[in-house]
Amino acid sequence: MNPYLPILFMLVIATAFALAAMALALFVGRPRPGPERKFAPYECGIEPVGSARDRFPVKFYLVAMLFILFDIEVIFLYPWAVVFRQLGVFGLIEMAIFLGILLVGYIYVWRVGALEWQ
Amino acid sequence: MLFDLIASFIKAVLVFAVVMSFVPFLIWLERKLVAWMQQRIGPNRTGPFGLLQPIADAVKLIIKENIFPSGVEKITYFLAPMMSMIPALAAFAVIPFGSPVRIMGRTVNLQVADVNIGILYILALSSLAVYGAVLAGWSSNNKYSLLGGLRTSAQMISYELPIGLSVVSIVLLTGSLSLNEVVRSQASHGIWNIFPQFLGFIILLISYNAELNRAPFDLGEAESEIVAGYHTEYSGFRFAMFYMGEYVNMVTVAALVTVLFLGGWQAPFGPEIPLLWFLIKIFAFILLYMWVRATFPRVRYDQLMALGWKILVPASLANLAMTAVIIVLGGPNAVRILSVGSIVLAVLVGLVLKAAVALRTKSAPGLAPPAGAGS
Amino acid sequence: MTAPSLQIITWNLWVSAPVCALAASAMVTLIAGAFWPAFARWLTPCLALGGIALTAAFTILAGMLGLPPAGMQVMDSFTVVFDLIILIAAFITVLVSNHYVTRENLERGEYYALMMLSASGAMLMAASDNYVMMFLGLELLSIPLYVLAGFSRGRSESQESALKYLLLGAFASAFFVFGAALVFSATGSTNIVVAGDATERALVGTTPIYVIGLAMILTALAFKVALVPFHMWTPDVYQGAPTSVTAFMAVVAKAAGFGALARVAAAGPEGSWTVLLWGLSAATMIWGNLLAISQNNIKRLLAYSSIAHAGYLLMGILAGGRAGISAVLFYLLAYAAMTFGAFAAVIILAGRGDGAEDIEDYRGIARRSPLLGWTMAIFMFSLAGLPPFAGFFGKLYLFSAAVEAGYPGLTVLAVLTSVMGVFYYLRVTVVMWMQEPEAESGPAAQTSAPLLSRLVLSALAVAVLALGIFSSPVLRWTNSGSAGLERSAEAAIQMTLPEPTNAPAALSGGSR
Repeated sequence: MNPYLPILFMLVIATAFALAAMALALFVGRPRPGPERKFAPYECGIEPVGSARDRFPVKFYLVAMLFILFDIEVIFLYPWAVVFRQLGVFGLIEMAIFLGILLVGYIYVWRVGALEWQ
Repeated sequence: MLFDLIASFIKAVLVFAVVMSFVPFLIWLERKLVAWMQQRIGPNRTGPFGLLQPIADAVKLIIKENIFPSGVEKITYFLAPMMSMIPALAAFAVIPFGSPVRIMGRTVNLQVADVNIGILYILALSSLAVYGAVLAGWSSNNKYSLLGGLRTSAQMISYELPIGLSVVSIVLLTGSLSLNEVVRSQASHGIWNIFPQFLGFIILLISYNAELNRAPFDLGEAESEIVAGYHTEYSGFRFAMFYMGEYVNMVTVAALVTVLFLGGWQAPFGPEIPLLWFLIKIFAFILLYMWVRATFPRVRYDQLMALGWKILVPASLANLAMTAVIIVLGGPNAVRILSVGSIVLAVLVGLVLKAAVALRTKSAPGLAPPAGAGS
Repeated sequence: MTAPSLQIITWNLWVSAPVCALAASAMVTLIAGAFWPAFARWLTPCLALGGIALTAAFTILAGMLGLPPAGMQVMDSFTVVFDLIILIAAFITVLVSNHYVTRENLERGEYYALMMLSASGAMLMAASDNYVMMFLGLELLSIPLYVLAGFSRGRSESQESALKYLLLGAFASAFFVFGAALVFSATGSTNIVVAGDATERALVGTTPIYVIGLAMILTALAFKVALVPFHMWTPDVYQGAPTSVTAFMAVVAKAAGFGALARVAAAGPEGSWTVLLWGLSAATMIWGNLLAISQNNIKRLLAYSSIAHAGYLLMGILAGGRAGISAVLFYLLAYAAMTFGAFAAVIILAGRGDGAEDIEDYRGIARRSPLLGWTMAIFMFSLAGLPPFAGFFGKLYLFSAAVEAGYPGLTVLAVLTSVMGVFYYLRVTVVMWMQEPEAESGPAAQTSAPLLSRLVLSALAVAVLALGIFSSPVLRWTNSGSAGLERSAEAAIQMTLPEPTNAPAALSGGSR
């Protein structure tokens, strides 16, 4: 048997539960009509001003970019870690170089203030 | 073949049922515990000790009116709560919760799916949880939701780095990505990973608290700033889905940390009842998180990011470097050397932090110590 | 599984030592610029020059060792010659940039670091005999250039240029990867020579997949070197980018593309490949020269001129062989000298904020500054291909190689378009020398420049002249480079001969 098959069972069960619960809620809690104001998004009691899908600070993009860079680094470490004992000193040196390069990037990013959240 | 199929299906159903039945109990436990810690009574009306409160809540939420606020992106708005719930449940599939047992003359692993990349699978699925928050925030057509979704996503991806780096150190010790193998290696080392990976354990503890969006890192749903964050516009059972997802996630994380650091189902002393010990460890963990929630005030967002990027990432890198070097040079004694080295390193990191905080407070006395509240 | 022995690693490290040295120097520059921004004005260019010189030393040293191919990279004499051309170009860029970045307040450590990284990508492209490595080089070349194109953040033209370059460049990169994947699926190898050879030995028969893959790779490289019809981005990007970056792009990015093309061409893809190159070359020469005539902005004019020169260079690739590749290398060197010269003059003339970039702004400049007038005239004459300057001899070698390889028609076309080129190059000179200056029209062109800029300008003019007059020793040097390219292509085929790579069997064996 494929070892991944049970994962599919688990996914199917979880999805089925979520869908069933949503369907039940739709059935039991029927929408009741009301004034348009009832369906307005919540903005502390006042009428919503402007669009909600507005521009947001560029810092979030920066975090996302840094995450992509460093997360790929982390993912590269996994196969290395699995065979690390066989590689021995060679693997240690190779990964030290790899991490060293990324460390330079990390130090640079820190130094120019990309990690500050002001 | 057929037996395996049926067995794994039954296991999947059982795991689902057990985890889902944990959820109402955990909700009750958390409310009660936090209440006691804050000198309140907590739920006490429905059933003995208010035990039926979560059930009453569930019934109430499910008969609530179904509201689609105006201007929402219907499909993503509908899918987002499921996106935060399903990966959490599915991640549990690879957790080994007991030693293999013999049923009808066959060996059955107490694990839904014994895959050899279990660790990667869990990391992948737990990173999917970010979609629930960000899709909910985006689709809701509400400014607070958008802010909450952004905050949560930035926070979760930031803390994924220290998590990934700490788990790599475990993989270094184990030499395998299979969670079963992780448990077995802890048995063969004769020492739980929490000792040779003490710093990694601390880092993972903090990072998973942030990954779960629990106080003191619940910036994405900080009610004092942005109403309820990404689930502001959710009500009824869709809100319940987010709520349940959070607790399912907590159980999964507790189980993962138990497997990675606390020897899985192994008994530290006393009778060898794997399932019981596994449950005890999970609950100890969950109780710790509840305690943390009741104790620490919420951190500021800049503190949160600084803690993740400037403290946990370098600390976990140092931990990784130390682990790799000692494994290569230490030979058969590596684990024992690491057990000492890891505590030394943890103390060292603590001292450096303390010095840094002292320096910061000295140069700008008005500022609170950065990220001190979380650690 | 056993760990690779350290001996092999050391040899392999020597093969990639030049690229590593340049990349490491770039990192040092980056960190230095970030930690001591106050000294960035002189510290980072000095570090960059030092790093480039160090890399050149490594290149020469590695070339003398006579290293075997390292699997992905080769350190043959082609690599050495090519790397040195790139390094010379990078060196000149740093010198030319200094005045510009100071004037435009772009003094940040990143500027030189990115330039060095880009140059190391260019070196990697020319040194790789594997499509995967070549792609790595392509990306390492391009990504810093996207950033550099948008380096003057205050100017919207610069941002526009960066975005255009990024979008189209990413598209071209995708073409390259996909083409490499197709070539791999057709031949079972990502090694350029082996992949070319497998089809030649008809192990897999005539495969349209291989041809399509190669065409996609050619498309990507044609985009990088701006061949018609993949040239649309060039004028806009060249005009918007900071002028010193434009000079770097025009020389180094183009050279890298031709280095890669030479490697691919040396693997001997026959048939439709030559037809494609013929058509591209002809179209590029005609279109580039035609559009250059109507340009009024000097940067756009130089952009179209660079397109036209790409057409001439492609003739050399098409001709192939020892003479063709040698002519390409020589022409690249000559082109680098005269293009840098022209851009150095433009940097001085444009003045603060790149105000005066129209050719009309240069009226009568030669009267005010004979140095600028004379040097610009030399560069323009050389670009036009008039004797006795470097451009003339470059074209001579290219054209004779093309005739020998049996492309007389294309050569006639090239000569005709060169005559067209004379018109617009001379127009710049005429404006500078023979027209009266008009003070009130537009922003006045500047003539004052720091000593370093004037020195660089004069040195480049002398180099253009010297490359023309003493062309034969230089040609001997480039000849050794093209000979190395041939030798390593043969060696790569020799290495695979004992065990014939049975690509289809290997592929189907994998899926079984």
